[in-house]
Order: sequence, then C-alpha cells, then structure tokens
Amino acid sequence: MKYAYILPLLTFMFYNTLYGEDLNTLLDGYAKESDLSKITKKDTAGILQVLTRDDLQKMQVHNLTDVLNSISGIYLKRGTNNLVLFSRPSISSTPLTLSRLYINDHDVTSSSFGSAFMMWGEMPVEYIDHIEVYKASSSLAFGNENAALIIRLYTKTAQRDSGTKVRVLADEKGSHNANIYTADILQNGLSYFAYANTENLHNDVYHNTYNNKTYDYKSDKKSYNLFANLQYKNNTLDIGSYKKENDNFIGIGSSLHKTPEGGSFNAEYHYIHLTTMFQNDIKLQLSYDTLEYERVYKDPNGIRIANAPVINDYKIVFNDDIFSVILEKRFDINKHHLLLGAFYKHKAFKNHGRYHDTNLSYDFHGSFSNALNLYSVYAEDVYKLSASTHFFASIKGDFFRYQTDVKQQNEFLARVGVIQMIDKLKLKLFYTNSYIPLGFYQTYNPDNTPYRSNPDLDTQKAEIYTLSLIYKDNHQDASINIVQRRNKDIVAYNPTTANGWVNSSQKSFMTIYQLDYTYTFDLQNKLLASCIYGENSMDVEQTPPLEIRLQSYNSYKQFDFYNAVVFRDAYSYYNMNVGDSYEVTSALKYHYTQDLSFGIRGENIFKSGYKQVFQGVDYAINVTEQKFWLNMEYTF
Amino acid sequence: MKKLLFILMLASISLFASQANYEAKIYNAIFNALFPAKRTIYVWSDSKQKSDILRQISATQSVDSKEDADILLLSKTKNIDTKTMKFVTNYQLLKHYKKSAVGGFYWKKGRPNIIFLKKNLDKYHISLPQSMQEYVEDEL
Repeated sequence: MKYAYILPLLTFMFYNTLYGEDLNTLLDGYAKESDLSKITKKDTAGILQVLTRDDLQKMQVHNLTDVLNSISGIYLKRGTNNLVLFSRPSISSTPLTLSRLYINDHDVTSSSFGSAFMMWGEMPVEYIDHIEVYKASSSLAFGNENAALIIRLYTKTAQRDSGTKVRVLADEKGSHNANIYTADILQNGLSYFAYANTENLHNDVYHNTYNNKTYDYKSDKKSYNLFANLQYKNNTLDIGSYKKENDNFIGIGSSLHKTPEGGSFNAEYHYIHLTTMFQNDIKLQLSYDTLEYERVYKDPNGIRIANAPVINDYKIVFNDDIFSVILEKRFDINKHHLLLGAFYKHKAFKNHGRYHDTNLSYDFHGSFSNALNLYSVYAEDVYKLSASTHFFASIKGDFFRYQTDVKQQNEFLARVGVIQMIDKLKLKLFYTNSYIPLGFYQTYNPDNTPYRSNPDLDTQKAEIYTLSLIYKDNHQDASINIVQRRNKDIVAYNPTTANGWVNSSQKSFMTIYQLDYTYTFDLQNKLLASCIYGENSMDVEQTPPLEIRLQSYNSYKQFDFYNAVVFRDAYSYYNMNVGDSYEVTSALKYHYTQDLSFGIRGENIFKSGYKQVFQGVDYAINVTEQKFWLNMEYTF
Repeated sequence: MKKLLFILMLASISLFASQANYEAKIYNAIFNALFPAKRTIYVWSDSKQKSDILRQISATQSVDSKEDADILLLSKTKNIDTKTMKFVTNYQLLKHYKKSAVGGFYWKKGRPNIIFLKKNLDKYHISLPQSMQEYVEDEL
C-alpha cells in the first residue's frame, strides 16, 4: 500500500515523457501503420510494389506517369500518337492487353483496345490514396480479364479524408493543373467523396525538316477528370469520367519521314460501378463503361496503311460500351481460404473510319461493329498448412462468344504457388499458365480496307515462372526476383498479309532478374535501391537491358524530400545507338502548417534521362521532359 | 518497487508496433492525461474493436456497464445522456457531443487527429499536461 501514491505519480510522469511529449510521434506511427495498403495488398498476386500515401505525398506526383516512372523495370514509352505506353528491359513492344488498371474495384477497360491503359495511363492521382503494382501477375488474383501487369489504384474515402483539399501546380513551360476534392459523412450514414481535376500540359516541341520544310512534333495535352464515390452501409458507388484533348506528336506518317501537319485526338471515357457486399462474404459488382475515341492524322507527305494507296488524311472513331456483372464469394474452411467467382461482360464496339488523299483520288469510308459476350468462372484456394507454409492454386475459364465474324474461343488459366517462411526469410514460387486477350483492333484491323475480321487469329499464350526470395527485419527489406515468361502464338502485325495481325509460329522467352533493397531508418526516412536486368530469346536490346535506381524518401521537421536517380544502359534500335542515361528527379515540400504546404519538383533535372528511338525520326527523344513544377496544397 | 519498474518496462515496448499497438498507446496517453491520479481507469466502449484495443492497455479496464465507467469511449452511439465523461472516435460523433465530450481521436483531412474541447474539460476540472496543450481547442 505504501506504493499506492507513488505509482500514479510515476505513471503520470512516465506517460508524460513517453506519450505526452511523443504524441505527435505516436500519431505519425499510427498514420503509417494504418496505411490502407496494409489491408488491400495481396502478396500472392505477383511481384508487388506498393506506393503508400506517404510515398505519393513526398514524391509530389500529380499523374500516373510520375508514379510508374518510379517503378523498377517499367519503361514508360511515348506513343508516336502522344499516348503513354510502356516497355520492359530489352523489349520495346508490349501488347496493350498485357496490362490492366483498376480504380478501386473497377477495371477501366476498352472493347477496342483490350485495356484502357492508353487512356488512363496518365490519369491524375491526387484523389488516389495508394497504389499497388503487381508484376508477373494474372487476373486470377482479382477476377476480371487477364493481364500480366496489374496496376491497382485505391481512391481516398470520406472515412479518412472528410474535409476539402485544393491543389494547384504550374511548371516553367506554362503547364498548369488544378484540382479539388471534398468529402464528408452525413448524419444518416451516407458518405461521399467528390473530385475534379483540370490539366493543361505543355511539352517541348521537336522538329523535322523534309524537302526544305520544317514540321513540328507537338505533344501538348489537355484533360478533365471527375470522380465521385458514395457509400451507404454495404453499398459503394463509383462514378468516373476522363476527357482528353491531345496533340498528335509524331503521327503515323510514312516510315521514311514523319511530317505531321494538323490532326487531333479527342477521347472521353465514363464509367459507373456499384459494389454491394452481402452477408456471408458475397460480393456483387455491376458496372458500365463507355468510351468515345476520335483520332485524326494529317501528313502531307503520306500515310501508309495496309492495302490502301498512300493517303494524307486519316480519321478513325471508336465507340465502346461495356457492361459487366461480377459475383464472388469467399469461404474459410479449416485451413483453406477459398474464393469462387464468376463474371459476365458484354463488350460492344463500333468503328468508323475515313481515309483519303489530298485531292480525294482515294477516299474510303467504312465502318464495322461487333460485340463480345465474355463468360468467366474462377476459383482460388489458399491453403495455410502452417503459419510458415502456404500453398495456393487458382483456375479460371474464359469463354469468348462474339456476336458475329470472329470465331468463338475458350481459354483456360491456371496458377499454382507456394510461400515458405523461414525466420526472416520468405520464399515465393509461382507458375502461371496464361494468355493475353485480344482487342477488337486486332480481330479487325482498322487499317485494312475494306474492313473484315481476322478469322484465324488466336490469343497469345504465355507461361510465367516466378521465384522470389525475400529477407525482412526491422530496418531492412531485401529481395531477389527472377521471372521468366515463355510466349507462343505471338500476335504480331505483318502488313504483307491479308489480315495484318497474325500468330507467329516463333516461340520466345524473356527473363527478368530483379534485386531490391530498402533500408528504413525510421518512420519518415527510407532508402531504396534496385537493379533490374532483362534478356530475351531474340537476343535484341530494343530498350536498355539494365536499370539501376536509387530512391530516398525523407522528412526533417517541416520539410519532406524525395530524390531519385535512375540509370539505364546504352541500347540500339532502328539503327540508332542511344547512350547511357541517368535521370534525376527531386522534390522538396515545406509544410507551413498541417493544412498548407508548398513544394517544388524537378523531373529529368539534367536532361540526361532515358531517350526513346522512333522509326523515321533521326534523333532520340526524352521520354520524361525536363520540368520544374511548383506545387501548393491547402486542406480546409 | 521492482514490480513497478517491470510494469513500466512492459509499457515501453518497442515503437516498431502495429496499428493496434499505436492506437492502444495513444488511448493510454489520452486516458492517463485525463485521469492522472487513477491507477486503473474503467472504460465503457460501444465498439468491440475498441474494447479489444483497450485490453492491450494495462492501466485501463473495460466494463460492461456505463454506470461503472470513468469514461465512455464512443464510436457510434448517440443520445447518451449521462454525466460520465465521454471521448469519441469519429468526427461526426464529436459534432453530436460537442457540448459534453471532452475530446475525440479520429481521421479527418487524411490524417489522424486528436482534439480536446476546453469548455468540456473545464466542466470536469481537468488540466492537461503542457505537452498536450497543442491539442486543446476552444471549440469544434
């Protein structure tokens, strides 16, 4: 009893020092440990890289290309048509349908192109809470259509972000971006999150001189975004909209000389997605997407398309309508965690094209349309043999039923794997037998007039072997990943054939070796290093096979810092040699108060970053432009 | 005295902790600031998740009846009319109880927030330590 008075006194003193003075530190730690990626990420789905909310804030990213530029082994690529694509170490061409992009549960897809990455690849990300990038993956982990690279973005929600935030950015080239979001939970339990963004992006103009006339390669872009999320009890409704107006950049002129003059790109994408969770872990999703995509190319010195004579004007319009229903149920039976799912997707598309030369001696008008009913069933079982040994197996059947012209196809996927933990080491082995879906632009080649389907085209098949060895302790996180992808029935474009796209009889493989190391000093400071090397069976180096990157995320008092250096080695493509590159990105943010911050972000600061080769252009062009963004954020 | 030191050592377990551990430490700091002289603080919660977190705190004890509690930790229940001290875990509830709750710990503007309402602290004659004064607001 004699200690009865001492104990409260000491306890008070103790908590005053540990908790009282360090309550801010505890709040920082709590915020870090509460990052939503800890709930959403799925370790078994592939080689995973997570960008937490804190990472995104320190980097001061404002669109998805800024984010993907920070992912090892993903080489962003400027399409000649001013859209964003990507390639991998040593390989330049990557099928559009290789990647899928999810915003929350919604797969932003396209009937025409198979994936809407080319539309959404540079979407703004201020309304995104965190991002997961799964490499060497498959749709088996997430349902929906198949892909090997899966990018999942999770939006902010009213549960954490009630309030209003405004962000404005501007760069030295006259670009500007402004966005606002507001969120709240109403007294009746309904919560909402609403977001709007506008961007006007200015880039360097490149030039090409042909026949004593100079032509400009312009790549400015305008875009407008809206997003809304409503939640009530177990129902979630997402509504998204994206409108783009781009310059045409290099265009699609003759392969000998690219001389664009005029032309335009206009596209609009809208979607609505309803998710309802029923009792017993049953999840129902309904969604509708619509895309209108209009492209006009003009080249006074000729555009060559398939079997038409040389033309000067090319206009094409795609209209997609996609409706989907997904039903999933999860079970926990003894040591098994089971997922059963099925979906139905109706993908309709229409196309209209007009191609002509300047004096209309050739003038083609044409259109075609089709629809696909895609039925899919899938199952996944994660068997936890013990706390340290997990097995899993997945299987999926996709049944393609086209309305007309195209042959029916049945595709099957399978994935098996094991995760073994030994103290601080984790071993992951996966095998995936997969395929890459076709887009309508392949089953009908829009450059091939008169329009007709390609009756013999099959999907490209792929087997993926993945080995990961991971070490993790309180401060360090190191991993070795080896991925080999073996392809057959490769879909390639051959302009000499009647249908353009054909299945190549040649088999190929690609191997990626990746080393990652992260040292976490404390809650606010970490250093990342990675090295990736790619090789392929064709023994070509169309892109740099080696990439080494260093990234650091730091905070000191009211300042946040982000620094990154990316080295890529020399390569050669289209008979052009491109030397080593090192790209430096830095960001500095000053938090004037908890609600008001100012920042600056420099991209490709020394103009020494990765350059891309374009056929018909006699110099390589920076993929990331040198830019300095000023940034102001205010939350109220 | 050795027992006392042992208890204090247990309470200062590594800062490399999970979300629940951090949350427990934050509530522990809050409750000890509100009741500096109490050896055991009796807490009633309307959330099983919060009750589970409170179990990690040696200085608190969950009770089944509001009448037995020193403080009510409220996550969803409205219209509780009692003189027992209230602390809430979401902003909407803090608006609801702005005339009676001593404070709240909740997510807003994308970050966790702690707030103590001065007028309501005064009703219970609570004077928070200097280190927590930055969380005291005159009104919501």
